[in-house]
Amino acid sequence: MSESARGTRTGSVLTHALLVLGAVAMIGPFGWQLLTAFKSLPETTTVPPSVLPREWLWSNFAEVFELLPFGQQLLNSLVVAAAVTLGQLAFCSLGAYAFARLEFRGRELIFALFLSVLMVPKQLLILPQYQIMSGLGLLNSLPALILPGLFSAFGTFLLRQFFATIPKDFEEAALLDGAGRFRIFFSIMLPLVKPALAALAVITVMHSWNDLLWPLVVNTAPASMPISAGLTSLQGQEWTDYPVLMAGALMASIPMLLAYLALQRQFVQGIALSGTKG
Amino acid sequence: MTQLATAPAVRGERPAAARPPRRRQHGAYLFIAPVGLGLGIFYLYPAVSTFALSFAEWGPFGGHTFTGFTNYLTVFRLETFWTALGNTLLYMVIGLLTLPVAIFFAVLLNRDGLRGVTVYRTLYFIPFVTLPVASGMVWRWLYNGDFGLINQFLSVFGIPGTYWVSNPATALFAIGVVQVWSQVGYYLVIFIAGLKAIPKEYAEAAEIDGASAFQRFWRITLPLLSPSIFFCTIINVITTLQIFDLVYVMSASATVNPAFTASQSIVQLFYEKAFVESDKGTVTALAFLLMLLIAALTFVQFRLQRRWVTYV
Amino acid sequence: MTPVPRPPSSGVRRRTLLRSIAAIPLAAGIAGCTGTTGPAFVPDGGRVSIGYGVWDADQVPAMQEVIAAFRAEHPDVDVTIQLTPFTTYWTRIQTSIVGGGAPDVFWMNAPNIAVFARHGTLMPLTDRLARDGITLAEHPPNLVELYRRDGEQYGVPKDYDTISLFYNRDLFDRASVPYPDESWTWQHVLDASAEIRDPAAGVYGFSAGLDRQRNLYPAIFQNGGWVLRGTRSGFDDEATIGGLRFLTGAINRDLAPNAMADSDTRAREQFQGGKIAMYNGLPNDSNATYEDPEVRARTGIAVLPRGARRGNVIHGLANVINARTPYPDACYEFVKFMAGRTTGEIQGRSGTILPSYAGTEAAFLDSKPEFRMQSYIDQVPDATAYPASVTTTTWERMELQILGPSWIGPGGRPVEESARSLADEMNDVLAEEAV
Repeated sequence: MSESARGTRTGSVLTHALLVLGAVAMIGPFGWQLLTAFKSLPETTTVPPSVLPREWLWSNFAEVFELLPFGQQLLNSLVVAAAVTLGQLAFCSLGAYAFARLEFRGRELIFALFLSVLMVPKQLLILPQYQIMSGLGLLNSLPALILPGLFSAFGTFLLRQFFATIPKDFEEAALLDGAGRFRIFFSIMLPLVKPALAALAVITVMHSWNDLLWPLVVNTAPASMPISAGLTSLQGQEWTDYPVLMAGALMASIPMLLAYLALQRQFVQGIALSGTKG
Repeated sequence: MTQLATAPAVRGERPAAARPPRRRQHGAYLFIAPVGLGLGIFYLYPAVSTFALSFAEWGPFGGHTFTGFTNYLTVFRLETFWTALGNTLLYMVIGLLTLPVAIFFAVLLNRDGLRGVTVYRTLYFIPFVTLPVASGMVWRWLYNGDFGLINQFLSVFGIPGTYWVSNPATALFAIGVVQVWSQVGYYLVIFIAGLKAIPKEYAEAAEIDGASAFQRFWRITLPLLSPSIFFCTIINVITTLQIFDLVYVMSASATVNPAFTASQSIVQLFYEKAFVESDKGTVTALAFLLMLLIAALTFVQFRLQRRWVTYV
Repeated sequence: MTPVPRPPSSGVRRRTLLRSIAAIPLAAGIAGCTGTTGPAFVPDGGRVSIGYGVWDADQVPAMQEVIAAFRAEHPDVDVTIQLTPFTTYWTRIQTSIVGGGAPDVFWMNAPNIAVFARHGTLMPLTDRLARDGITLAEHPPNLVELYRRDGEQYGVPKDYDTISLFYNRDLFDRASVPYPDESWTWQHVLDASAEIRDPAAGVYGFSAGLDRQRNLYPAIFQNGGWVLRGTRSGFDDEATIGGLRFLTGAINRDLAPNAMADSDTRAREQFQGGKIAMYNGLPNDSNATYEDPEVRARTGIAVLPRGARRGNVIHGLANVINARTPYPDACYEFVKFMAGRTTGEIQGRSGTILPSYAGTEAAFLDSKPEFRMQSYIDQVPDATAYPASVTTTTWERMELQILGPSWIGPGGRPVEESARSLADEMNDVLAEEAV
């Protein structure tokens, strides 16, 4: 056996050891969360703690549903994520196409305005946005969560970059055939930027699902909260039942986890392609 | 929020977009109208309005009085603002540690012929796709001073633990660590992509020249990865300057946590002032200062990139 | 720093200008969709519908029952409950009073009454009550007083709370210490705690946490101290500091968990988990304790121990009316009904809250026969009203932030130092109130 081969083998063992260690750090907390979710409150306050629950209690999961309109909140999150994503895909792709492929008066100026929106942190906008929602009578409603999310300067910018790379010949041929702009957009251009649309969809879904600040502000009634904000109300000012909290946190994380495991390639590509979580 | 595209697509945009077709297309406005109006109403107007109102005092029941720079002076006189600003910059520094950690694992995963790469990548990415609120709760429980797993683990080695998220001396770092933990997977994905794009020939040539593995990493891999690192630094700084969810969940409550102020971020201060204390005038000024901070730090990074980023 | 609230009339001209500037693009943008603003509730065939703002989900069933009873007498008035969690309740009410959609009748507490009254957002009730010959004499007088500002009654009490001592019989038995009773003093608490304290099991004697209503105020009043007189803070008074020192002393002697431990695991949770033998609880703290059969069986409730004297704090919620309601008469009828015996009885029976109408507590006591809930009522004569002024929310926040460093156990800042610094800062805020 040559020296370098042995070196490689030790190296590979070492690599795996480090990677496994890293994986334990990344996943370990969830294991402890899972175990805690099945314990009783007194059991979690014993020192030293038992690793496995004395008795596997499903009641903590049931209690989450008693304390919160949990099903409703999950549904709210799903509806909002779906609506926001569809809206962004539609509105941003339309705008992006125009910016990338059409010539019109004021294009540079309008695009600069879009870019300036990109620079503003969302906290800056929250008070007036809140007042708009209040003025529209939309506080504590799903539209309050959806409306501002439908429009995205980032999404427009991202898609514009992709539309801009498409060679001109594609649409010129169609134009000569007498196709209208909307038809070219739908049947020729959109299919060409599919990977970008998928990337935008992934980011938008994740962002919408995770968002906390805005829902905390506009929707304070439990039935209209998405799951992110709903979950925080389990952590009371006076009282935190950790097993119930762990059960709730677990159930709230599962939908996105399943989506990720099912669509891993799209997630990873989407993230790498767009380079931000929004 | 500022966002950037890695933009594998940016190249070649100019010729396609800039050359005018035969005539102007008025239909274009129809394409732009939906997103343009939406951004105008929900983003541009609020930004302008916040700016205007940062110079006004807000009565608790409405009504504004023009007060010049009073709100800004109030913010500057606010002790909690300086604490929150310092904390936020510390979160930023801790957050930047995500990058070396991610590069470390990316390099390990990039080894030739390594088995199980997909499995590792899947696992490492999970914290990133977990609801931040949920992660924060799990970690708050791990950090619990009396019944948390971390202190139990430390006690095995005879190391005394503490009330990690309630001790003013440790809370910020405890939360910062979770921020790193939750973001590593994301940067890992970007760095793996970056490493894959580096042609193998460079490293092979260096190996023939007798360069050690460490030298190869330091002299070849790292410089060639620098565009990705630059991009990640920008994103990371912007993200951590706006840290809120984890702080909100883990420092839990202003009324009970002695470490609340010691771990408070600017956005958390913003939320408290605006929606718990109803001090809206101060808050508009605060939000503007945050934007200036982000813009300034982003600008500085772009200025500095010439010094260390290598574009091939 | 919260800007001093000004009377609504100041600075009109600039404000109008500024507001119109801010509103132009908005008006242009969404003028077509603002149809939902305007009066929030419209008469429907002669009927009137009013919104009732509350923050405690536990009490919603009882409130619904009250509404049903009210509607039996006033079939022409619909009452809809608007539930908002406490953390955002006040912001929501304030914003909606301006922007529309505010409830017509809503819950008010001591810290917030003054600021709402000062800005003219609440409907005065004195004349109407006098006309109907309602004296509110059935409610604890210091509670009624809490909701009177400048001689005008703005709110009518619905419930009240004092503080009682919860204790864990098992832990007392194990240490062979007799249970607390009305003869107990602070010294008894400290002695018993020293016996019960078991570092290996993580068991403490009692909770001395940084909790205003449960711990700080009772201890201060038990030592003859005070929190607020006019626009003066009482935190630099020796008696006040003495009360606080009872708490911090216990923490420094390791008889009570420090503020960091309390923050990680709250007192009620520690008590449920059997980690503290005694803690001060509100009437509704007994709900969770009662729910778990095991905890219920081992829990006792007693009056608070005495310090230099007996002392307790009384607080309660009141129903107030939005000054801008389109239906002042219907709202008044509802609030009047809520101040009466029927409402007291319904609330008592629900077991969620102690009603303020004298003589209706019986049902509340019966809802948890194993617990000595009578302790709460017995202590009303000892109790001082919950301290409050226009800037309550600002200085309450200061209390916790400035006292905090003295609550972290040995090595923390001496409590005298924190208390005096708190008095200074609080006096600054209070001085601005007078402007």
